[in-house]
Order: sequence, then structure tokens, then C-alpha cells
Amino acid sequence: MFSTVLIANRGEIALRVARTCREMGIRSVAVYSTADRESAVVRFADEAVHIGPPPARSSYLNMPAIIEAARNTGAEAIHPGYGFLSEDPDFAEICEANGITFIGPPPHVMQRLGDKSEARAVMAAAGLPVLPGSDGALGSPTEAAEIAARVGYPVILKAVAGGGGRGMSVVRDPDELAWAYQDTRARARAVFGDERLYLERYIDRARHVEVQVLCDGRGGAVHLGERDCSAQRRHQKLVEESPAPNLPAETREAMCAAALRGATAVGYVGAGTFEFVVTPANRFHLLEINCRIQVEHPVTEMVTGVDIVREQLTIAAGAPLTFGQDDVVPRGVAIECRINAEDPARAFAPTPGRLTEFVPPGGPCVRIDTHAYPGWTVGPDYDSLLAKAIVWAPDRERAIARAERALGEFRVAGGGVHTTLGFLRRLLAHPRFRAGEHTTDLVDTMTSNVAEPAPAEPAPVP
Amino acid sequence: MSSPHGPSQARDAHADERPDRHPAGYADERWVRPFDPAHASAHPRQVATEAPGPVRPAPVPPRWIRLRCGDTSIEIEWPEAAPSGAAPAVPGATPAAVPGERPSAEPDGGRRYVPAPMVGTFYHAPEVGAKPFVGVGDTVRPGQTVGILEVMKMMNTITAEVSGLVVEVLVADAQPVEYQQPLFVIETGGADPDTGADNRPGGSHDRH
Repeated sequence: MFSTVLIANRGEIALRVARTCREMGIRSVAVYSTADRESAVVRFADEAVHIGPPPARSSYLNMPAIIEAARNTGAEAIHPGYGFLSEDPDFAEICEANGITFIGPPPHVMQRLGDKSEARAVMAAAGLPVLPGSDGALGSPTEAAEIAARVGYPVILKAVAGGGGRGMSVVRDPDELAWAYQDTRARARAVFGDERLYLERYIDRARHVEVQVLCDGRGGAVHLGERDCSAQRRHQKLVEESPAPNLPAETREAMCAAALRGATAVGYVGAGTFEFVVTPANRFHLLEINCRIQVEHPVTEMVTGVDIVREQLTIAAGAPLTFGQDDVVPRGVAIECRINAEDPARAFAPTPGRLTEFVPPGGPCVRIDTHAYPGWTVGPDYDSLLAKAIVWAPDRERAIARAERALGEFRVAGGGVHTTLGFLRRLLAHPRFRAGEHTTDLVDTMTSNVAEPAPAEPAPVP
Repeated sequence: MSSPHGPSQARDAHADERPDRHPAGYADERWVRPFDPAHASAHPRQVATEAPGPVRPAPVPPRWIRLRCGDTSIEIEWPEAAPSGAAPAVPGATPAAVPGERPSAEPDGGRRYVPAPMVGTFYHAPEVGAKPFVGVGDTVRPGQTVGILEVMKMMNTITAEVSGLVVEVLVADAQPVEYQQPLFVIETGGADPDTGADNRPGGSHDRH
């Protein structure tokens, strides 16, 4: 096992990784930008290195600074967390070239799966169901129109280099396709530096269900069941849970088997996620594969008892998995709610500010992953995730009640700071969510349809 | 699994790879691309247009200029270059000072830090065994080389931003440093530190 691991990330995930390192007796090294010099992980880690000014491109995306920090502190491995450099095959390769283990899949695997249209083709060849759409990147708006006409509207245009729910547009009307093509292309170029797009049939009222896999690169591969992430706002997840409610057992088994088949086909190593869209008729299609730990991984940890970061570290250190598929026995229901510093009343605009009050909930089976504390300043430089509240209960009804209780207990206040706490409580109270019948359009319905009956719950904490 | 190695071992191993520590260009071409615009001042062209120090018109023409395209190296030497004969003004690359970035804590009254512009390894002298660029008691001028920062096998010159007297050297030779870590304390004598009169690069300084 490694003796020192550098964490090339910030916020709650940096602290979460450092915690597992501490439990494993591994020295942790945090890196931080000027904006994060008072962050929780800087205080918690065994060592911390200041790597640059607030803009991410000069700090958390600054490869030379991170590699130098690793060398200067004797780190043998780098955990990239999620976002930033976590799915950058160049960074993985540079780590390798400098004798540092990148905790993630090999660069060539990341490269193939990071190109979403190639990943689609590779997985289709491995026998995974994909939605009808383009083979590879689109060449022109005309080609897009031809394919869209063939697969049928609505369709979704996606950036080949996309991820994290960005760089995609749903098109319902053939007349809008040409405009959407240009617009999405421009956004893809701006956000990912790669303007290539691909196209797929879009499923309305679908569910988003994903499967967590662990592969040790020595033939050992297990899945840790699925997570339902259908509660999304414009492709950004707000609430995730495991297991997926009302998913027929045979569908679940088929999806998990498909994910393992895909992982094996591509030579996957480490922790990864296969994202599927599930139709109202419970047919599933692969959306994409994420080569990193995910924000919502704790729900899987709560139902399986597996520490996914620990498994990532163990696999990266070259050890085989210590358990098999039969040892993975999910129990109960876990729900995660993302508390973002955003104002739901203003289209979820980020609300930076200094926290004057921050009292997370406690009590039985409640886990809070956060880097925030009273006095912490939510800055404008990074994403607005403030905390994740994860609860566990033997069944879904009790898990919802527990999540509701935990969110009600959570107190966050600060000049100008709004949170999603109140919105999350309305979401948990929504009849479609309670029935486990919600699809990816629920949140947008809630925010756009003012005529919808107000949920019973009173409003929100600050 | 690689065996654990301490920072000093890591650096030593690294030192073997640079027989000629200075000047150096991009040792590894893969680094040319990952440097994004935020550090693009690492590119000599941008140093030439952006850095306030090195490009002010010098009162005398340079003695010699060397340009190299392949490894991206520019060296310019003025007649009154430092006694060591080193002090080329813009060797290879330097992210130098980022405008508006200052160490959070400045020392008291009339004193200023020279901060590290990036994470790396700091060297006092152009090569092993050579005389340090500056020491306690030396006077420095804006733009004058005070040390070298090695970042991913690239040697970056660290230059003073203010005129004054070096009153303290805060880091040892070959010591790893982090972003904005203070390297030297300069006594500016209370003068406005940003308006050093003579920004001529490689300007002469007296060694005592």
C-alpha cells in the first residue's frame, strides 16, 4: 500500500478521500488554491501544499504544480477525486511518466471512454444496448438532420468530450435542429475545447439509473448494485438513491451484468460507473461511462458497506479485490441529497457568501459529507456543492422520513447565501418522488409549473 | 508497488537528470501543451510582451542575443551583466510574478517578500557550487535575477520586483517551495516598491 497519497481536488471530496487515507494509515497531502487556504481538508490532511491562485486552471488544473507538489512531498500516488483532472488521460499519463500512480483507470481506457461517441461504439460492440443514433461524431447539420429523421424525434445532441451533464441539448422539432447544432457545438468548444457532437434518440419520462463497478485489473470484477439519479435539474443530479425504486429484479440484474460485461470488454481498472437511461417499459440503454469516483458514491457505500475510496486505493496499489460478487449484499435504502449554495427561486443561480451559521444534522444513520463550517466562505471560483446529506433506513419510506428529518435539522445561513435545502424538502414530499415514479423531468416540472399544488411542507430553512 | 521514497531522495534522483542546470529549455515536450494560458507567461513571447521588467528599453544595447526555436530558449545579455556571467535576462521561461498576486502577509514597514511564483524547487545559484545570485547585504533592482525555480525540469528565473537590500534569505538551496512562499525579505527603504527607477534586466549589482 502507498505510504503517502496526494489528493488533487478540493471541497468535500478531498476531505472524504483524506478520511479514508487516515483510516488506512496513509499520509495524506492536500493541495489548495489561495481561495481554499482555510479549507477543511487543509486542516485535516497531514500536509498541505499551496499550488496556485483561485482560478482552477492555475491551481486544481495546473498539472506541473500538482506533480511538483507530489514530488516535493514524496507522494507515490495521486487521487484525482471527481471533476478537475479526474478523467484527463493526459494527466494520468504524466503521472505515470513521473513515477506516480494515478488512482483511476489506465490512460488508454480513459481516452476511449472519454470520447463519448467512441465509448458508445465500443459498448455496442460488447453487446450493451445503446440508443439509436449516430455512429461516431456528426459531420454536418445535414447529417444530423438525416439521422434525427431516421431515429425519430425527440433527439439529444451531445458533446463527444462532454460529461457532468454539460454540453447537451434536447431537440423536439426538426426546424430547431440546425440552430441547436450550432449552439451546442459552440458550447462544446467553449467548455471542452472539442466541438464534435453526436446524436441519440431522447427518451422522455425516462429514469436515470447507473451501476457502480469495481475491477482490479487481475480478472476480479464486481458490481455494487445501482443508483437511481432521476431527480435532476437540467442533467445536474439533486437526489440519488440506492436501490432504484420499483425497478424489476430482472432489469436490475441485466443492467448490472451488462455493466460488468462492458467493463471487462474495455479492460477497465478501478471504480467506474455505467450510466443507463431506463424507459417507462423498463428497457435500458447505456448513456455513458464515468471513469472516476462519483459525487453520489456514498449511497452505494451505505447499502453495501464497501468503502469505495478504499477499494480505489487498494486496486491502484496493485492488490486484488478481497471480496467477490456473492459477498456484496445490499441492505436497506440510502438516499443522498445535495445541498448546494444556490437559489432555486433564481434558476438555481450560485449564491456565494460567508457562512455565519452551519449546523449539519446528526442522529442515527445520517452521514454528512461536507467541507463547510461556520466562517467558511463559499467563493465564486468553484462549484456550489456545500454538503451531501446521506441517510440510511431499512426501507424507502423510512429513508425518506429520515432524509426529511435531517434536512429540517440542517441550518445554513450567511450573507447572500441561499441553499437548495427547502427545494429538496419539497422534492422529497412530492407524490411522484414518494411513489418512486419520478423521472428526469420531475424537477423541471416543479420549477416551471407554478400551478402545481404546493407540497405540504412549509418552507425552508434560510 | 514502488517503495516509499522521501522528498530528498526524489529530488536527488531528479538532480541527476540535469547536468546543465542553467539555462534550460523545455526538457520534456509534453509540457509545452499542458501549460495553459494562466501560465502562458512561461512562454518567452509572452514574457517579452507582458513582463514589465525585461522589456523596458535598456540604455545600452544588448551584448548578445541568442534565440533557439526547438527548445524555446531566448537569452539576452547586457554589457554590465552580473559578475558571474550568468544573468541572462529571460532564459527559457518564467512565470515570474503574476500581477496582483502578492503574498498574503507582507513583512513590516518598508520590507517586501520575493515570493515563489509556482510550486517547485528553489535554487540560489546558477549551478552546483556557483556563487548564489544574491545574498544578505546585496542590493537588488526590479527585474534582477535572485534565484531559479525548477518546475517539471524547466528552469524559471525568479526576479526581484522591487529595489532594495536583501536582509533575509528564507529558504535553503534546493528546497521545495510552494506557491507564494516567501523566498527573500527585501528592505525597500520605504520607497514605493512598484516604481523602481531602473528596470533594466540583468542590471549590475554590487557584491560585497
